[in-house]
Amino acid sequence: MKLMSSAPKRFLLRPCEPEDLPALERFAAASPVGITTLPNNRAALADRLARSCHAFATDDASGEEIYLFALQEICSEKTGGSDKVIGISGIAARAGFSDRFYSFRNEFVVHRSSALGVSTRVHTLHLCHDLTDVSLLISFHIDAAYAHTLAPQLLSRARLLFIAQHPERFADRLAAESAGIADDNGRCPLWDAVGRRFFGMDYPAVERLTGGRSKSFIADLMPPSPVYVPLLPEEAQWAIGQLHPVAELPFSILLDEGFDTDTYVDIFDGGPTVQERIAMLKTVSRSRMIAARCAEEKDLIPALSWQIVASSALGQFRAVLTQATTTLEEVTLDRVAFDALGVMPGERVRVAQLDVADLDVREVAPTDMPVNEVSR
Amino acid sequence: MNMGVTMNAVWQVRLAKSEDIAALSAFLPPATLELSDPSEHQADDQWLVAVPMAAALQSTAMGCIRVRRNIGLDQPRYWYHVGCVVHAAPDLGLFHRQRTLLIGNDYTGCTELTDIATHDRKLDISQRRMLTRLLVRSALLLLHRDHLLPFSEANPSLPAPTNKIIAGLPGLSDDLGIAPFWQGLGRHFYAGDIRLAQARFGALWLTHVAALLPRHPLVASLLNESAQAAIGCVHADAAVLQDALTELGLRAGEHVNLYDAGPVFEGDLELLRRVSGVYPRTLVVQADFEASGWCLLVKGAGSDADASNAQLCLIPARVNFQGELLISDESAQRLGLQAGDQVLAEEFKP
Repeated sequence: MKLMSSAPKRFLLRPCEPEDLPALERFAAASPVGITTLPNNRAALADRLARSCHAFATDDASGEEIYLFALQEICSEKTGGSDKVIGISGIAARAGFSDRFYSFRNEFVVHRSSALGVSTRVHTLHLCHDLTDVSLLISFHIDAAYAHTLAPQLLSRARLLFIAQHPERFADRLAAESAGIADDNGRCPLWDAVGRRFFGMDYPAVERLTGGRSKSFIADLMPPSPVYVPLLPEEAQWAIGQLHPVAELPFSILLDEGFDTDTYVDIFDGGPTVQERIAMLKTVSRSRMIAARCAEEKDLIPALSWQIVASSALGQFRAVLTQATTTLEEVTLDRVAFDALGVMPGERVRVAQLDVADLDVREVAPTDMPVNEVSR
Repeated sequence: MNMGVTMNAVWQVRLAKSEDIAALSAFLPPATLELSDPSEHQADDQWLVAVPMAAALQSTAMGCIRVRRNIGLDQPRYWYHVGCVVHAAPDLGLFHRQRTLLIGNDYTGCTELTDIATHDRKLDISQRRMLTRLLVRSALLLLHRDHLLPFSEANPSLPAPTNKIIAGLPGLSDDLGIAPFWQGLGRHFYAGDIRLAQARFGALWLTHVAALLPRHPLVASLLNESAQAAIGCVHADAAVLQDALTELGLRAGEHVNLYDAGPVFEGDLELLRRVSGVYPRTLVVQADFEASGWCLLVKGAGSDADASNAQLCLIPARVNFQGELLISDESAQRLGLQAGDQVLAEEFKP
């Protein structure tokens, strides 16, 4: 573990607000074509933001909701920092709501010829709707300057606590798409080998053509029969299941959570689409509801461990990642974390331990870096 | 080298005999003769040889054709069906028609004309043309004759055949026999030595390799360009055979060979009979006979036919106003024909 030495930055995850529109624009504009589910369009972003605000406010969830979260540094005299949004992430309650959600499912078939004495194991990609109606983690963006801090851990995993806290709003299975191999112009080897044959245009052109509409119709143009991987050019074969460099960080978090990473890939760029039963995910299975207590100055806080702590509220959802001590009944938080959560003493919060020792974490880089870490 | 074979000669087309094997080995691939004996005839697998009736040639077989009926009933046979699928997104103005390949046994039960070969070293191109036409037409005439018979009399041991006749044409391959279609598709699923497989199993190697090939429809555009371009193309060396089949009314269907994507020509027997102008005739033998052309004939027609007789001949002949077939006394004696015999005949222009 490469952990910050002292006075670590503190972060707070909260629902996005209308005032976060510039931050969303910033992240959308910085993402290459095909990398993000955020439209690079102010009106579309504002609409998405409004949908998110409505989702957090409504008691009548239909499954159409998207929930967007903003991550910011906690500003206080003790920690310093600014309240700038340094990351966003989201959840779509149901993938492909009112439509179908397409994926390629990896399958292997064994062909055998007894006469020739040959068996071959053939990799195929099956166009499928398996993940329709599962919940979907979306729109993970973090400023590159914070990529190797604990910020992305909170940004990604706190969503799981939100889902665990409000299970009636989500499916029992969760998926997440990760960007696959593409060059700076958006050219994807898998798209060139498969999709282009059916569209006659490159992927960025398709993105422009669809104009942010549902992509399910794209799959209508794709072959319903399996794609036999050995028939594809080597470059395309190699791209199946591979990550775009900007997706490595969020993917590593999902991998640590226990998502299945081998079964599905994106139909456009071949990036892995992970999925798992929500109850099986590390943060969810570890989480428990206990009372929050604020440590006094005089308190000694032994047996410190890193905990993701989330309030149970819907519209006022808050989550922090902090060192704290827990018992079976309560979690003792320092003043900064306690205040950031906005809970009352004794109020029940959802807590899950994070194994920071297993993570590659270091202090915040002093300057902004040009590339954001992103997943869809 | 031309061995005195002339286009205007009497030819006999008959079942192969053991004494023909030496002649056949001059122009059939060794593996073919190792895996099958043309002189061993079965009701559903017959080899015909074309023999010029000239003393100088000592009745040497100059060409052969194999007629296989009810194919695929003992060992499955496979072909790719070349189909079409349309992918459309009307609201985006996108419409794409794609060729598809689906492996299947669609010609099971059909009759196949195969192993069509001529002694090319002894024949010039026009002779090869004539002989190839003769072989194909003879095979079809025999099938017409049997088709006109009550089926149980023609082949009592066989299930009723379909009327479809097929003939596979070789597709594109390089000088080493390597097919671009195989390079783009099959080799990804069978990396073994195909020559060894061919030598071991003959044409059945494709049956065994089919077990390793994709079972689901393949979109042809996912293959490399060379493989796509080869689908349905005929090797230049098969132009003579292609012309002969086309002349008789067979046409490329929607199926291709698994190895080289050569097309399978097909035709309905009843339609082919009309194209060929095959009719039952009564034979008239004349001493002072003057022929107006040539006829290919087989003895027996209708209830008079003998299914076991697979002897055909190409001789000078003429049809009179009564629709009878006139031949010379010399031809009748040489071929064992008699006035009043019922024959099935068609005009043949050498």
